[in-house]
Amino acid sequence: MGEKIVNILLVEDDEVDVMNIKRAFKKNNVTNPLFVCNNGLEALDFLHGKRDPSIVDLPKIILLDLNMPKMGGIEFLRELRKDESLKNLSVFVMTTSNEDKDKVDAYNLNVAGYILKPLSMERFIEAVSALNNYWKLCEFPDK
Amino acid sequence: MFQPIIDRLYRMKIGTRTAISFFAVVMVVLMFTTASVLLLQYGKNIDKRIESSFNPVISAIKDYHILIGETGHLSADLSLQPSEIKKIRLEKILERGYTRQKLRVIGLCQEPGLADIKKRIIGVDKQFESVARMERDLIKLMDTAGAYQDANKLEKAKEIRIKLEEKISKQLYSLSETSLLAISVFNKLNTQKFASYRTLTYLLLIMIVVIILVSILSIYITNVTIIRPIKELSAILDEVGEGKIISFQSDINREDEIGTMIASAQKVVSGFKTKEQVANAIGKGEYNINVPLLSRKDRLGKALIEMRDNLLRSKIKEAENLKSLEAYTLKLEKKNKELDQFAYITSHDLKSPLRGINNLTEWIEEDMGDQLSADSKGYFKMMRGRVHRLEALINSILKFSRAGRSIDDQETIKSKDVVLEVLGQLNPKPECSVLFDETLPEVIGNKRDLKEVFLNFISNAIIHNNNPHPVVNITYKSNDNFYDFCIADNGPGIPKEFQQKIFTIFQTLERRDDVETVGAGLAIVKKIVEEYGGLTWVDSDEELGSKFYFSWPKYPIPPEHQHPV
Repeated sequence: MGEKIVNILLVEDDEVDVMNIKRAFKKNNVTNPLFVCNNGLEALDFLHGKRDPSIVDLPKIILLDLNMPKMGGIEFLRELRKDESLKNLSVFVMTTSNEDKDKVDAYNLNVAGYILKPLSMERFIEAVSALNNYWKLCEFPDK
Repeated sequence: MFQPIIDRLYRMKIGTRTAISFFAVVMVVLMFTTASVLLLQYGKNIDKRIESSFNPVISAIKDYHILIGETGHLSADLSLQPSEIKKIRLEKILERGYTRQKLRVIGLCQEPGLADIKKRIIGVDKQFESVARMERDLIKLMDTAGAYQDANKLEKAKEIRIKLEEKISKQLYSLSETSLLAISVFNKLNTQKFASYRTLTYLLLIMIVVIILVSILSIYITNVTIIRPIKELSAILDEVGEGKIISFQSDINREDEIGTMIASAQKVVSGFKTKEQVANAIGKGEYNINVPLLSRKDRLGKALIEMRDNLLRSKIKEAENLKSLEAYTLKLEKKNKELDQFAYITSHDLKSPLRGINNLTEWIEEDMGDQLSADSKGYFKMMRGRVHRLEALINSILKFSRAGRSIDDQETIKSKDVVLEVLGQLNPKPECSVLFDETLPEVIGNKRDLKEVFLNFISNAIIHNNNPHPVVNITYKSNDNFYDFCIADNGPGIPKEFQQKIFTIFQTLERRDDVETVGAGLAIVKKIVEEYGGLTWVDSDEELGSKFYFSWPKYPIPPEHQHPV
């Protein structure tokens, strides 16, 4: 199976959470390159290639936190789905919010999954492992 | 027939009418009295006439009759034997007595009714002329005593005497007839007198009848013109008095005092009517309506004006109150939103540093590996336990603040199904038996809310139960608007002094380190149940266990009918 390694964008403002993800990736042997943005605005700029022009393959998968400064996750999703070039990106929401409203809003904006950040590390690692298996199976368009 | 008269009567004042009827009665009485007096006078006159003229006439005729008879007797005596006395007496009668008597009779017969008698007397007198002549002849013939020896003369005297007797008896007969005639005239007069008395009787009868008729007429007129309209009017005023305000158009169109009275009553009623319309208008909220005052003394009108002004004032005040209430409601909504925001912040912003701490301790433990002492590992574990507890507390705050929020989304729920769902979720251990009434009823509400209530009560009954064979029994009782559900256990029971406390948030009866609970369940339950208008309470015996109750509405009920809290 000719594995294609897709880039992943993590939009997260909490440093510990970023570390958490990186640690979970390492534990699960997830080798996909991971880019990090600290809020929605930064992420949009990054996806438009304004932040790091050297990157050729823009990420096809986004891990998105909801509560962030400047531009929150839901707002970011709205902007993303409006943008012709970005609207087909797969977005997984990873958040602490257990609010129905957030879940409904997120699924209305076509997210691929909504994952609650558990308190303990182990369960999070399990969740990331499941994600890895999932997106390894998925096919993405080339461009 | 009487209509024109009655119409005319209607136009008169009652005083005039009364005066007229009084005057009419007086006139009738006067008229009849006068007539009676006249009639009586008439009768009396007749009596007088009888007394003054007819009686003398009859006695005069009698005297006349006697006088003529006497001449007869005297003449007869003188024809037989001489008597100076008789001769003188006869001569005297012939000379003066007779004429005097005759004139007296005629003089008495001047009354028109006695004309016949007078004629007859005159007739008798004419005949008497020849008698008188014969008697004078006789006196002349027998003038001396010697004459009575003269047979010749005696013969002659006898002849005269016979003739005289014949004539005088004829005259006497005629006079008797005259006398009878006079009596018949008298009788006739008497008859007239009696007739006049009879007429008087009739007149009296007629007068009585007329007075009765006049009285009846007067009563009838009084009835028609006074009593009937007064009755009609008082009937109307009675209705007005009972509060029924009717506008009436009286068909009694009159100009007298009754008419004035009806006009006054109409004024009163129309005044009321106007007031009623105005009051209705005010009642409907037309506060700018003009209240017409009947006069400066119109107290009802003034009261209406005051009422209107007061209502207007209170309406303005009410509007102000409503405004401030709206402002207050707006403020409250804002506060609620702020509370929501607070809950949101609590759930995310407080939780993520906690997770950070948790993660970091795990990483430290991982990285340090065997370098960590057993004690340190234990501390880390305890630290994570506190972090988890803090998260649970935050979650409880969130849950508590949201409890009962979904009350607007109501449906019919089978409480038995809810209990079954809860049991499926709790999955009690095999030694624990949960019993419930098979007929648990249908209620109204949000299913998640009711589930939350049952979940907390049932899980409490199982978790806090230290009996080796925990038993939980769920029953219910029907009230007017509510079902009272009861969740009974055979656990340790709750001392009296804590029974109120357990419904307060974060109140637990055991150390958290022993039984890991947050202590928000009953507070959340209480909040949800009270949101639906129900109540929660506990009945516990330290030996028999606890009975937790809550009441849940049978159907949606407006807030004013809810249980008093």
